[in-house]
Amino acid sequence: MPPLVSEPQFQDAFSIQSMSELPLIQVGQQVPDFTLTTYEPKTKGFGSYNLAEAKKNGKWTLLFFYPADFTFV
Amino acid sequence: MGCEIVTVSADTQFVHLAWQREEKELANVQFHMGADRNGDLAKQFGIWNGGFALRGAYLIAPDGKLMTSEVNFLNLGRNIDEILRKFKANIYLGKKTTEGCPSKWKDEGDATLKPGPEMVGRVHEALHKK
Repeated sequence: MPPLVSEPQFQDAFSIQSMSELPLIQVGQQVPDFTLTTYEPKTKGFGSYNLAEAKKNGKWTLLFFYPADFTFV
Repeated sequence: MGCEIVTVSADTQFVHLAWQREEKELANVQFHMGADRNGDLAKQFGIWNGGFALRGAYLIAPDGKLMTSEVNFLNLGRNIDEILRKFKANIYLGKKTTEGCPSKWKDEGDATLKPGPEMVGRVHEALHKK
């Protein structure tokens, strides 16, 4: 596995603080609606995921972020 | 199971397709693979790190409220069992609004706590009562 942290394009944790101008979503707060373009392995097609729609269907949503495809999750 | 899983990175949906087709570990995945090309969503959670999202996991209730947040640095994977535990606990607590799930709670039937005057200084007894 490549040494992820030492690669130059990864900034250190401090730089995250300085770039956050918009208010961050905290636990207990409402997540604003969003739509993501998706690939859907189930149907092997492209689609989209919309939070408002999930809410309408009474679904929970787990957002699972990771740095990039072809890395481990 | 009542929860939609959406994996998110800055890759395009096309790369998601190629990765899922190529990587045997992903052969049977059923989740949505979201493309957050400019990190707009990652930025809202404060995990956009110069072109990459940190390993953040966020559980959002059907009413839109953020219930759980966990962020690891780039080099550490998350434990999906723990996230599943938190999901189950949230479902349980939605039904039992006067209870709390302690750290060792795994599933319905495990000991829970009911905060109140009797519990002050008596958490040990509450957790270990038979």
